[in-house]
Amino acid sequence: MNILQNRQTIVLTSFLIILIVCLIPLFQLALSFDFSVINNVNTVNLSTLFFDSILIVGAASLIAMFIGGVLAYYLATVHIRFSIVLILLLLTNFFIPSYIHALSWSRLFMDESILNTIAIYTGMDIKGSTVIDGWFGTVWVLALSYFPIIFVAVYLSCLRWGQSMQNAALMFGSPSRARIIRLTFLRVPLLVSTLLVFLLIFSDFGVPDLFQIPMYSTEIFIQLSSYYNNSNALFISLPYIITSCIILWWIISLTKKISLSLSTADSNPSKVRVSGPVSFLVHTLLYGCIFIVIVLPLLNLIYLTQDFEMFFRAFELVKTDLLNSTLFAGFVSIVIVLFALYASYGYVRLKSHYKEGLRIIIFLMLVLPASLLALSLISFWNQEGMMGWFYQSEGIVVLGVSIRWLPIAFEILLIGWLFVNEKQENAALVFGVGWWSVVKNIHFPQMKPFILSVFILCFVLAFNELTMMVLLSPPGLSLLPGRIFSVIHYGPENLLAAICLIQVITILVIVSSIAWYNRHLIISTQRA
Amino acid sequence: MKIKFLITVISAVVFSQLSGCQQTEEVIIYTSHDRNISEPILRQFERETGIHVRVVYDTEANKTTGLVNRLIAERKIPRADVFWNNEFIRTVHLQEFDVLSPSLPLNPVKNIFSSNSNVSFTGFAARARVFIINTNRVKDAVPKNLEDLTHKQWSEKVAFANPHFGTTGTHFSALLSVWGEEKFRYWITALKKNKAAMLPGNAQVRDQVVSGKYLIGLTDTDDVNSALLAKKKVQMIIPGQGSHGIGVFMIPNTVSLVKGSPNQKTGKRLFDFLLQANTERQLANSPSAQIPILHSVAIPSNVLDIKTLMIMETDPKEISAQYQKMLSIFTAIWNR
Repeated sequence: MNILQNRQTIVLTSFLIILIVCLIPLFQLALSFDFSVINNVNTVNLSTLFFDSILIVGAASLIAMFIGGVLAYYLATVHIRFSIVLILLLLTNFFIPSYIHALSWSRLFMDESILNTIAIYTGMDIKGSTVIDGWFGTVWVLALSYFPIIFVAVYLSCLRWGQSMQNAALMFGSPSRARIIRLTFLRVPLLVSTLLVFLLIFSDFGVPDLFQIPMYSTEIFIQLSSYYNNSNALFISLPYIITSCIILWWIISLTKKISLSLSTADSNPSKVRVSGPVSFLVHTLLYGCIFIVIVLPLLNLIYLTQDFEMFFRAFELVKTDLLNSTLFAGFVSIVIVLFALYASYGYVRLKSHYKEGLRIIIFLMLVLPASLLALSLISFWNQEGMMGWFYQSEGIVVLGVSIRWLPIAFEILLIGWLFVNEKQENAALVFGVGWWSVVKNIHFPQMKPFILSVFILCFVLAFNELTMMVLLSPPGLSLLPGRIFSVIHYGPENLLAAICLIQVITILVIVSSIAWYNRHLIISTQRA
Repeated sequence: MKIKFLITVISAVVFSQLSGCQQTEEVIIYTSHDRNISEPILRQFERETGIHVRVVYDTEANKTTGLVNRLIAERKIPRADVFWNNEFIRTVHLQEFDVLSPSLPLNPVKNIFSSNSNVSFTGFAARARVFIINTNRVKDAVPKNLEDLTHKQWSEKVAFANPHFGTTGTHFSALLSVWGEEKFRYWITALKKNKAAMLPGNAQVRDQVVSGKYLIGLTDTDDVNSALLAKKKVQMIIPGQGSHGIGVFMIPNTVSLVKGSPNQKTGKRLFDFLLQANTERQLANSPSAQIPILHSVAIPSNVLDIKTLMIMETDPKEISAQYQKMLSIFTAIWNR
C-alpha cells in the first residue's frame, strides 16, 4: 500500500514540475505585459492577415491531407512492389527541414537547375519561371514538408483494420460499402493528424518568408524586431493562441475516439492484389507522386552541388557544426523524452477533473511564438549566482528547446500510456515489486515504440531549431542550421546545396539507425 | 554494458566540447554580420592575441534582429562584451535602451554623415543603397534617382525590401528625414500606384531581379556584388549622383562596447582590433565588397571608392528619431 502511496507522490511531483517549468515563462510574460504600450495595432489589416494566413495554412493542410491520406491508404491496403522503400522515401520528407524544401524548390526553376537543364535539352525554356514564387510555392512546400505526419497516422490506422473487421464490414453489403466503412474508420486519425499539421504549419515562419508571403506570424515578428514591443507581440498572438487552444480541444476529444478504435481493433490486415489497368494506374500514381514530392527536389540538390569536391569542401566547413548539432539534438531529445514520459505518466494516473487544464498549459508552450518564449526565459534566468551560471551554460538552450517541443512528445506518449494496463502495474506494486522493476519490466517494453518515435521526432525538431538558438545559445556554440542561413546570403549556390545535402544525409542516417535498432530489438524479442 | 559504454562515450564527447570553451582570457561578441564574412576576422584576432573569442551569430531567418532583442533582454545583467552590427540604426536604438557604452566616433565617419550630425557610435566599412538592374531585360534607359522608380515605364518592374527590417528601414527613415514628410508620402504613394513589389529582404530583391520577375531592385551593394560574383546578368547603378541628386545613402558597420560587460579589457582590445585598417581591407575583399571609410586601403575593382561618390547628407540620430514615424506612414499608405 505504501508503494501505491508513493505512486501518488510521483504523480503529484510530476504535476508540480510541469507547472513550474511551463508556468515560469507564462508568468514572466504576464508580469512584463504592459497595457499602456498596446498601440499601433491596425486591427483591420491584422484580421485580414489572420484570415489570409488561415486560408493558406488550411490549403496546405488539405493538400497534405490528400497526399498523405491517399498514399497511406494505397500503400497499406494494396499489394505494391518495394512498398517498404516507398514508405521510407515518403517519410524522408519530414526529416528534411521545411526551409531546405523551400530552398530546393525555389532553386528548381533557376537557370542552373536540373529541371531547366532538362527543359533546354528538350527544346523548352523555363528560365526565370516564377511559378513557384508566392502563395503557390508556400502552400506546396508546406504541404510537402508536413504530409508525412498524416501519412503515418493513416498508415498505422489502416494496419489496425484487420480481417475480422473487413468481414464484419462486408456483412453490411458490397465491397464498395465495406470500403466506405473503412474510410469512416480512418476519419478520426485523418482529422487529428491534419489538425496537428495545421498547427505546425501556422507557426512555420521560414517557408512563407522565403517565398515572400506575408503571414500572421510575420506581423508578430515585426512587433518584436521593429518596435521591440513584447506586449504588442503577445497581444496580437492571442487570436492565434485561442484558435490553437480550440483546435487542441477538438484534438483531445477526437483522440479519445482513436483510443477506443485502437483498443477494439485487431491487426494483420490482408492486402488487395490488383492487376491490369488498375495496377498500372495505382503504380503510376504512387511512383509519380513520390518522384515529385521527394526524388525531384533531392536530385536537384545533388545536381546543384555539381561535384564531390564541393561536397567534401562543405563537409570540412561544417563538420564541427554537424557534430555539435547531432550531440545537441540527441541530448535535447533524451531530456524531452524523460520529461514527457514523467509528465504524461503523472497525467494519466492523476484522478482529477482539472487535469485537462494542465494539458492546455503544456500545449501553450507550442503555440507561444518561439521568440516570446525565449525572451521570457532570458528575463527569468539571466540573474546573478546559480541561475546566471545556468543561463550562461548550454542548459538554457536545452531547457528552451525542450519546453518548446514538450507538448508534441507529451501528446504522443499519452496515447502510448493507453496501452499500458494499470492493473498490471497495481498487481506488481501490491506484491512489493520495486519502482525501477515496474518501469523496466512493465512500462518500458510496452512504451518502447512510442519512446523511440518521440525520440526521433524530437531529434529532428531540435536539430532544425533556429529561433531559440539565436536567442538562447551560449556564445561559441555553433550549429548547422545557423551555418546554412549564413551561406544563403552570399552563396555560392553549390556550397549551399552541398550543406543542405549533408544535413539531410546526417538526419537520415541517425534516424534510420535508430529505426533499424528498434526493429532489431523487436525481432530479437519475438524470437526469444 | 553496451549502454554504459555509450553513455561514457557521449559524456566524454559532450564534456570535451564544453571544456574546450573554458579559457582564462576570453571575449564575448554578438554579431549580426554574416558568419562567413565575420568569422575569419575574429579568428585572426584570436590568433594574434591569444584571447579566446566566443561568438553568437544572428541569421537572416531572424532578419538579423534576434541579437538586438537579446541584448535588450539581457541589459540588467549583460553577457556580451562587444556588439558588431552590420548597420547603424539598431545600434542607436540600443543606445536609447542604455545597452551600450557611449563610443567615441572616429572622425572619418563624418565622411558619410552630415558635418553637424551628433554621431555617438563608431562606424567603419560601409555598404551603399543602390539599384540592381537586370541587364538582360533593361538595355538603355536606366533609372538614376529614387524618384525615377515611380515613372510609368517601370510599372510592376520595381522591387524593394520590407522596411520593417534591415537596411531598407534605415534608408526610408533617412529619406523621410532628408525629403520631409510631404515628399516621402508622395514617393511611397507613387511607388504603390506604380505597383512596386515589397519583398521580405534585400536578398530576395536581388534574386527576383536576377530571375527577371522584376527588372529593378533597391538593395545593398553587397547583394549586387554577390550576384555579380555569381556571373548573373545584372548591373549596379548608384542613385542620386550628379548635380540634381541627393547622393547615395551609406550604411556603415558599427562596433560598440556593451555597458557593464563581463570582460571589459578584452572587449576593448577586440573593439580596437575591428577598427584597424586590416578589417576594412578584409571586408572590402570579401564577397560583401564593403566600402572602406576609416582607412585608405587598397580596394579591389568591384568595390566602390568613397572618394568618387556623392553621399547623401544625413544625421543618424535624426534617422533613428524618424524610424517609428516612417513605419507608420509607410504602413498606412501601403496597406490602404
